[in-house]
Amino acid sequence: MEFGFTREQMMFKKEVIKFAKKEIVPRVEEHELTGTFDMESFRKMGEFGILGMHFPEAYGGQGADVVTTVLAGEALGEAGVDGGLTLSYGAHTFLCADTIFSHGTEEQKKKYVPGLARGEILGCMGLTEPDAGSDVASMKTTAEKKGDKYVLNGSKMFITNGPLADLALVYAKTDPEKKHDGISAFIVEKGTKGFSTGQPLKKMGCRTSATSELFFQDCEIPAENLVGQEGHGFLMAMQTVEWDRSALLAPMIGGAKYILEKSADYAGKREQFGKAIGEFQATKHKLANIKIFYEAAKLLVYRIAWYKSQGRPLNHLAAAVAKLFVGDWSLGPFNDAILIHGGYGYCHEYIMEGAFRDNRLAPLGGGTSDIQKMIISRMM
Amino acid sequence: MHYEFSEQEQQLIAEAGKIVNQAMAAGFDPSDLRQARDWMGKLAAGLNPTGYMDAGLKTGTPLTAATMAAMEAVAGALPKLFMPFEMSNRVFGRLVEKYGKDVQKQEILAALQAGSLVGAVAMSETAMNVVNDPLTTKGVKGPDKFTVNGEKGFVIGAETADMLAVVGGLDDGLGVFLIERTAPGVNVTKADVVSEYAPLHIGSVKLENCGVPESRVLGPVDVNRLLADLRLWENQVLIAAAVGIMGAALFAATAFAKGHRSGGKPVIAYQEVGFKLAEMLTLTQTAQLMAYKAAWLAETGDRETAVFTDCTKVFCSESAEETAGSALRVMSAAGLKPDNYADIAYRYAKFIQIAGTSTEIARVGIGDAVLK
Repeated sequence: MEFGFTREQMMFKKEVIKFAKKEIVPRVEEHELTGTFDMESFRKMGEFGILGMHFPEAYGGQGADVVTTVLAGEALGEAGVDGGLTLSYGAHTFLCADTIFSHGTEEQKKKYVPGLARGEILGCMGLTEPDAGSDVASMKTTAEKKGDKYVLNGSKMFITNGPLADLALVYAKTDPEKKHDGISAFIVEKGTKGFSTGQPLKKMGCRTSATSELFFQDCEIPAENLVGQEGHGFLMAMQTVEWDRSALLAPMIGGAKYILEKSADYAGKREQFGKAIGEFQATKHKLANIKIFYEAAKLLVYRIAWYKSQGRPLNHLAAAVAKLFVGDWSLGPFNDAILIHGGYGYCHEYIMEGAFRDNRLAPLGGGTSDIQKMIISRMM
Repeated sequence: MHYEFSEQEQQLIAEAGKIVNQAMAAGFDPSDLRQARDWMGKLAAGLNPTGYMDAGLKTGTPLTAATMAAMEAVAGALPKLFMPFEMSNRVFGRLVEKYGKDVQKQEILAALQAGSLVGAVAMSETAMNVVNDPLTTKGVKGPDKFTVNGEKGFVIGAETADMLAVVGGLDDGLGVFLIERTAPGVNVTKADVVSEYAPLHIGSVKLENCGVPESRVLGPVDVNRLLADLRLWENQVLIAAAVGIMGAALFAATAFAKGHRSGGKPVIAYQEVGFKLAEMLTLTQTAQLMAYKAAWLAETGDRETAVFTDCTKVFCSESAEETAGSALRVMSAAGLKPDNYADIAYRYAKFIQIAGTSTEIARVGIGDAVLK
C-alpha cells in the first residue's frame, strides 16, 4: 500500500493552483456577492483543459488519468475557487459530459463532448424531481416514444447549471410500470420546444452556481437523443457515483486546505492580549481539527479515485463512506475556521462564511448523509 | 498510489490475526504477571515465523503499512496485552536496533523475536508529563561501570519486562541504560492505576545507585533525535491499538445488532442502530487509512511523518472512543458484560488518548506546524 502522487501529478496540481489563483480567484468575491455564475472563468477553465481533461484528445480532452483529474478538482478548491463554481464544474464535466462520453453513440460524442470539454457549451444533468430525491425510482417525468421521437413530460428540481445550460442530460421513465429498470437518459438541447427552466433558486450556499427547475411539456426530441439503451438510465446514473465521490468531493477537500491556510495566516497576524491569537492553545487546537479532517478526508476521496483508475467495479461501501465522512465530519472544521476569524469570520470579507455556507451542501447534495448511512448499514 | 495490500501482505495480516486468536483460545489471565509474561513470550515465538516480529527489529525491515495492519489485527484480538507486548517489540526493540552496538543487537533483538526477552522503555518522570521538561535520571561514569539514579513513572510493561531501557542523562547528552528488572538497585512497583488497566503492567521504577556496565549503555545520543524516535514509535503502537480496538468494538456491536431481536426483528433493522453502525464503520475505515498512511510516511522518511502521525494519533484515539461509545449504546446491557470488546475499547481508548503524545499536546504540535 502506498499513498504518494507522481511528480507529474504534483506538478500539474501546482499548475492548476497557479492558473486558478490568477484567472479565477480574483473574480470570486464579485460573483459571490451578486450570486451570479462566472461564465468567463468557466470558459477559461475550458481553455486550460480542466473541464474534460480525462477525455481523449480526439474528444477535446487531454487523456488524463483519474487521479490527476481528481487532483485538478482539489487544486481548484485549494486555490480558493468557491464551492459554486466547482459545483458547476462537477455537474458539467462528470454528471453530464462524462455520461455522454461513456454511454453515448459516436455521433453524440462527436457532437457534444468536445464542446463540453472546451467549455464552449455548458451542460447540466436532470435526475432529481420535486417529489423524487433519493428515491429515484419514484420519478414522474416520462419519455414516451412516438415514431422517431420521444416526448418528455414532467419536471426536474435542484438542477445545477439548469438556468444557463446549453444542453441537459435528462433522466425520464420510458416504462413507468418499471422502477429503476424503466429509467432512460436523453439529451435535451436548450431551445427545444416544450423545454423551459425556472428562475434561479435562492440558495444558502454555492450561490455562484445557477440552480433551477427544468420543465418538460410535450417536449419532443429526436429518438437519436437517447443516451445508452432504454431502461439503462439508472445504471448510468449510478456509474457517475465514482466521479461524484472523488472528483466532485475533491474541491471540498481542497477547500478545507484553503480555509486551513487562510485561518493559519489570520491567526498568525491577528493580535489579542499582546500576542498573535495563533499562540493561544485553543486556536492551535482548532487549526489542528481542520488539518486532521483534511488529511483524513483526502485519503477516502483518493481511495475511490484509485479504485476507478484500476477499472474496478464500483465499491459502494467505500463510496458511501467517503461521502458520509466528507459530508458530516466537515461541518466542525469549517465552523472552526469561522471561529478563528471571530467577527470577521461572520462577514463576507474573509470568505470563511461563504466557505461554510458552500460546505453545508456536502451532507445533502449527491445523496444525503442519511442515505449513505442506509447504504453502509445494509452492506454490513 | 496503491490502496490495496499485496497478497503477501494480506497473508501476513491474516496469519497474525489467526495466531493471536489461537493463542487466546488457550485462556490466561492478563492481569497475572507471570501468566502474562509467559504468554507474551509464546505469542512472540508464534508470530516470529510469519515475519511479524521483523519490522523494526531486523535491520532493513521497516514498519510498513502492512505491519501496521497486522498489529491492528493483534490489537483487536488482544486489546489488553497489546500495548506492553508491542512497547517491547516496536519501542524497546527499535531503540536497541537503531542506537545499539552490534553486540547489543545480537544479544537482544533475536531474544525479543524469539520471545525469550520482553522489554519496556522507562522515559517519563514525575516532572516530565509533557515534552521539553528535562530528565532528572542520570548515569554517572565510574571506573568500570555507570551508576544510575532516578525515578521513572507510568512505564507500560514495567511489571512484566525482563529488561528496562532507562532513558537518562549521560555526559552532556542523553543515553539509554539497559537494566535487568531484577538487577540490584532497581525497584519496580505497581503504578497506582485503576484495576481495569492492570493488564498494561504499568509500573514505577526507582533506580538507586544501580550499576550498569558500559556494554549495556546506548549513547550518548542526540536528544532531539532520540525523543522524536521514541515519540514516533510509541505513537505507532498506540495508533495500531486504537484502530484494533475500534474494529473489535464495531465487530462486537454488529454481531450483537444482527443477532439480538427486539420488536420481532434484529435491532440492526432499526434505522438508528443501523446508522450508528454506519458511522462506526466510517470512522474505522478512515482511521485504518490514516494509520496505514502514517506508517507509509515513516517508512519512506517523509518530512510530514511527525505531523501526520500526530494527526493520526488524535483521530484514531478519539474515533476509537466514539466508536466504542456507540458500540456500548447499540449493545445496551450486553456491552457491560465482563471482557466485552466494546467496554474494553471504551476504557482503552481513553488510555490511548493520554499515553504517548496526548491528544491535547498533539493538537498543539499540529497547530504549531500549520502556523509555520
